[in-house]
Amino acid sequence: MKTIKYLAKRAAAVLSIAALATLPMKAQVSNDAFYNIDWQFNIPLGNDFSNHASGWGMNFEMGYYVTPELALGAFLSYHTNNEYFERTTLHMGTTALNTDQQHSLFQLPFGVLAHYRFDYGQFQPYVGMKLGAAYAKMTSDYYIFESDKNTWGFFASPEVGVQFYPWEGSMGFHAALYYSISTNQGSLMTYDMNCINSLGFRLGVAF
Amino acid sequence: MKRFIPILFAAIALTACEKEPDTDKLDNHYLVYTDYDKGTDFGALMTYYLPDSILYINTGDKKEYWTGSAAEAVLAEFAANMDEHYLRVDNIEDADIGLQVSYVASTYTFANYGGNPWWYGYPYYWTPGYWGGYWGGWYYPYPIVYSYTTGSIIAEMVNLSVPEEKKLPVIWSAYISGILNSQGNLNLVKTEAAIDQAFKQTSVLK
Repeated sequence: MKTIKYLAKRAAAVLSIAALATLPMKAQVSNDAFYNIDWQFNIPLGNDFSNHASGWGMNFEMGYYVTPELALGAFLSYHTNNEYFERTTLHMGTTALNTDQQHSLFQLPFGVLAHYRFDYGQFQPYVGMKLGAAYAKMTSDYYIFESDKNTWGFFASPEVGVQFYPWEGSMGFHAALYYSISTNQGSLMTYDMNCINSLGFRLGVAF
Repeated sequence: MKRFIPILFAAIALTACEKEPDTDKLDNHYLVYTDYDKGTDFGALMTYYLPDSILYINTGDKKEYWTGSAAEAVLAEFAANMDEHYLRVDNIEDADIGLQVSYVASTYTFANYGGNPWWYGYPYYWTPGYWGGYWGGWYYPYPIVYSYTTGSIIAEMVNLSVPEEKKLPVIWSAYISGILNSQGNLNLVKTEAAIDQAFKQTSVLK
């Protein structure tokens, strides 16, 4: 039920953004700036805490072209990956806990970005790099209880993408493939997390 | 910049960002948490005494014990597991271990007696006096869980072999929850399985 509500909320938000496309807007804020709002799909790599791919994430970024090719800007994104763990007994020193669990890894990186584009027309392929800090929360839900651990780390994410403006005088679209790594480390119950590696893609709108 | 205000609002709408895990996927089975005193030599203890009743912890201020067939079945399951390790005796004076079992019918009591340790001052809990000695109170030699829930069972082994001038130590404890059915009654099959699990997961009792 929570999932349906969440999807409905998200669909409404996306439709709101789509509706904005029908408004009389200029294509880009200026020829030198861009704003992207993306839905993202994230695939954790080699993470034993919460390893299931999911589409529970968004990315917000903006940049300014300081040269025709090179843009500098800022970003903020977030993502949640959940994984169910079958019933087992966790031994922690003299204590033991028998339960099943639902793990959740929430990531919220933010920082600066750089884009280097190869074309200035409707179709603008680019390579980019994001650098910054990453907040990540490890959560385990079991029975009616919840345990969590907050972590911070350094974040880096190279990406390739394209900004596509099909109609002059209107908004465009954005697509990107990314890899990300953050140095977050944490332990929760018997589970350790050393760095977070992910692959993913983003689809969204560009202004 | 005014044209970006709607975009900003849309972005803010999307930033209710953390997706809560779907707890409906949990198996809705029991939870068993155990702990023990690593300073106790469990192999050196030989006998145990199990009272014939379960303390019923409710909102009332009168001492209540849970009796009847369900209570007997719960105690029998504890006894069956204890019998695998220790010899049951009929007199407290002959026992090295006392096993006290409680059923939490209401967590209200714990909210009212939230001191540290939380049960100090609760007038009708298991007391050292029950075990017939002159211990100066009792204590846990290890950290314990405070958030017990309604419909749970707490079992504690006390070490009756220590000199009486000392406090009576709890050397093993088990917290068992998630054993009620959808009508709020005890699911005996789940309860017995959970009791077995409590012993199974305690390495010093293997």
